Amino acid sequence: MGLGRYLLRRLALSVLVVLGVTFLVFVAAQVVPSDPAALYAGPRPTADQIEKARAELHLDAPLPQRFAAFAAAMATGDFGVSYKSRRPIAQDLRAYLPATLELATVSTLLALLIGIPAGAFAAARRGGWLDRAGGLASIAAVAMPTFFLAMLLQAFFAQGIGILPLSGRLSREIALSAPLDPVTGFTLIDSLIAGRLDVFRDALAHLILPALTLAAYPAGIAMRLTRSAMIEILGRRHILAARALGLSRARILFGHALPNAVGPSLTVLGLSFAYALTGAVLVEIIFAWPGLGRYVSEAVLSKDFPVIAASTFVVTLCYVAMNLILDLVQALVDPRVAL
Amino acid sequence: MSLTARLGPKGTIALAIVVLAVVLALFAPWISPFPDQGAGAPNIADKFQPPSLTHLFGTDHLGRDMVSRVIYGARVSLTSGLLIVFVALAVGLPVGLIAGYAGGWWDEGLMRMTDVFLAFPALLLAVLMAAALGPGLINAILAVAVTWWPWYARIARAEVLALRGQPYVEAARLMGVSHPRILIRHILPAALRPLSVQAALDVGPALLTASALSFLGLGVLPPTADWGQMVDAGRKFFPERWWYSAAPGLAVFLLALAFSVLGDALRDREGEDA
Amino acid sequence: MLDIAALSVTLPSKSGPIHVLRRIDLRLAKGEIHGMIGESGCGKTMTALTLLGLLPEGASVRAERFRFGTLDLSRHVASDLSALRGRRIALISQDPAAALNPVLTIGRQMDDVIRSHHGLAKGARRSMAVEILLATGLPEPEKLLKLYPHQLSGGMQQRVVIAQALATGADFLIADEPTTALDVTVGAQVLKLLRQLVETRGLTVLMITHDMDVVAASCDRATVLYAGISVEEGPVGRLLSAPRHPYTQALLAALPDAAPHGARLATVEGSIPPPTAALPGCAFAARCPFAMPVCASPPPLRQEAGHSWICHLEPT
Repeated sequence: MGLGRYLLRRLALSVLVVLGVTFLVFVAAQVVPSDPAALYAGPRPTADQIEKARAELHLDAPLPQRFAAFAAAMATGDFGVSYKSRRPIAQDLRAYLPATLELATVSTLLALLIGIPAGAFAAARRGGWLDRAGGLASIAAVAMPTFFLAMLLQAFFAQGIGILPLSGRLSREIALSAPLDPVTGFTLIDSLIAGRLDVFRDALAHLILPALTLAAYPAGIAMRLTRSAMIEILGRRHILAARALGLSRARILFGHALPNAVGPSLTVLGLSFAYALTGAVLVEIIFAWPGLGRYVSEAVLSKDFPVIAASTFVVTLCYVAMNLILDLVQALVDPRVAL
Repeated sequence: MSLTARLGPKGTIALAIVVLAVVLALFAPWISPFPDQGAGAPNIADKFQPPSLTHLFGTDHLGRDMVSRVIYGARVSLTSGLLIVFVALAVGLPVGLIAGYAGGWWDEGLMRMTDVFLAFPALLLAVLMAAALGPGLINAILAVAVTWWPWYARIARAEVLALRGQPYVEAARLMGVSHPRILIRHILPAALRPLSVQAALDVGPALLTASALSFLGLGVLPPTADWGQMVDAGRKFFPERWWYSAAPGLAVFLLALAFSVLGDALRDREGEDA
Repeated sequence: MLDIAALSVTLPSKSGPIHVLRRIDLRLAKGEIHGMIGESGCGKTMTALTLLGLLPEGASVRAERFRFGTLDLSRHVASDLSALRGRRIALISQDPAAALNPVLTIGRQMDDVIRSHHGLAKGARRSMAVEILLATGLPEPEKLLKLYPHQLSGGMQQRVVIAQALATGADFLIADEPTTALDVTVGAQVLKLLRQLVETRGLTVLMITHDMDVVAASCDRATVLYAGISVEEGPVGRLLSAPRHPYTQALLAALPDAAPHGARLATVEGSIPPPTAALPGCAFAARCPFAMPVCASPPPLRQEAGHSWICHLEPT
């Protein structure tokens, strides 16, 4: 089919999917039992205020018109105003999204750094203690509820032995004393750009626990996928040939076998990032991480539906974009995919 | 081979745990030491008791016995996990069958629809749906099932595509058997096998998602006992009054683990039969 | 160079010991190309794996005599051989397309071998790789270093595999079915290359094959294997013209060339005894046209001017 045609086809599909996503979010918004006009009009509104709100929100227009307006708004980034704070949601999203993206990125990296080598070792020494322990650990990681793991880690590391901070993204002193210019929105990168190593260390310390919590499940999956891919690869003839030529076990495992396992690694990368994006909703509450997840969970409690809708929409867009990129990388790495 | 031998030692233990949970859920009022507390009646006098002989898991902030609360919570969790998978199967299976069997525009259209649902990160879509539908057990189950059914549709479709070309299906067509009959009598049973294995494997994750929803505040309303909601309620008092969150948290973990191991054992057994 | 007497390898299993090699005698002089011939399952690959120290865990290796060069390995055969692997003994794998890593460049695969055996700087390693590739008859080796295996023809791939073996610096090479995956003409070229390398570099080659033509074309001496036993050994000329062991005779008679035009091809009745069987007497007795009652006991070794075989039949 050729890479170009494949690219075009995937892009067209993504656009279609985004349209469908918009529609689904719209449908969800219609199902909400509470009267959006009443909520929008403020606390204890009068009938007049509700009418005014209804007109403002175009709630009396026919359905297709409302969808068109909705889609147009989503496309231009006008996500409406939060019921609770009356602030434009787009503003909040801009502030909170980078924090969650940073958390998701770091936890994905952690998951890969832990899971892939573990899987490689487990495959190299099948039946060994690492293999069996790893197998148990990955089954446990998959069954552990994210929110409970977060609480346990926090209790042990922050409250118990107190080596890591309890919550937040930066300690109060650093956040207030010398605030960073947000260049990328990623504190880790921004602090390095500004040459502020103290901020970097502080940000890293705050990142570890939430990122580790979000990395547990993907690391388990990464280990299992890598292990089965490696077992198949290690049985191939060129690995036997490499052994026969006297190459060391380590060189064979990491230099010859692992490079053949790029495909499954990409799959794991996608899964980890997706899991982190959604798990953030649970983890950010516990670690008071100022990201989209906490924003959404608070909106749930205050029944602030526009926030939930807008956040879901934006995160889904990120998700669709990420899957598209991964598919393209897969096609580049393995030309057979595009056929 | 007997069932226990086929499942292996891990699978047998897992099965035992699942059976125990089912028994606890079914007979909660008779098994719980303090059934009315399990159902929600407060007992302020005994609030925040650490684990003791009378209260093996301690008491919560309203003095309710945690053992009873956990037992009653099993009802909600089990029901959620099983019903989510069931509803998802009930929707996904027909969609997949039709898409795979009819082909053409039906296939394209239905598959694009599953693409849209699968484009969402699952938990967020569930949160969106649960927030839209409102609180309650049924709404939570529907919300999660909405995120689950596309997977089953895909699996069902793949099975149908593989089976459609089989000689016995063609033979049936040639003999004039109608399409629906072929679907139901010939294709459905074969497609159901891998789907039911997958469904069994999915009860654990479904349970976890449901408890995540109730942790967030979507799902059953208090005072009904629900593990996710209990972990959240106990969060403020963690880790000093650790038993409040630990008991339901561990319960979720153990049950999800048991279903996961059991599902694995069943899948291995299925592989041997095939 | 290599002197092995009564080598036996047993693998443990749930249903009893598996005798993968029952009694292997192998003698190679330095600079010799020695063929090891037999049907599939006769132990050729196992012998190669044993020599490379690549047997699975739990394999039991015993030998009356096992000398490699000046080293005496009879006491700790398995572990000593592991130490020699890649250093003094190297493998030329069969099926070169599969033997080369598809995601690594030729240059990288050569470099890995050179790095593992020679402490040279990057530039020196590259020159060495180029020089060896040139020696195997590959044109424009510098360009080759950047290519991937699937971009080369079968013959070129085989030459690269040979180059890898040369790059280890080993002086004893095991060529495992070097021509099986190649066209006849290309295979002939590879055999010619091997002969040339043996002469110019003073190598010793053990050539494993099931193809008598290969043995005839390129080997000085050969050993015939049957059911994990060396049944006959000698100079190739004598082996082909005057085979002594009934199995060798049957092998040669079964060659399509041997049959008169239009006649049915000769076959050997029966099948190879399984590795799990105990076999107190001659392994070939069940299929031998000359079998006698005495064949139920182990056959004696017979020798005749550098040609040896085991059989109860008196040499005429």
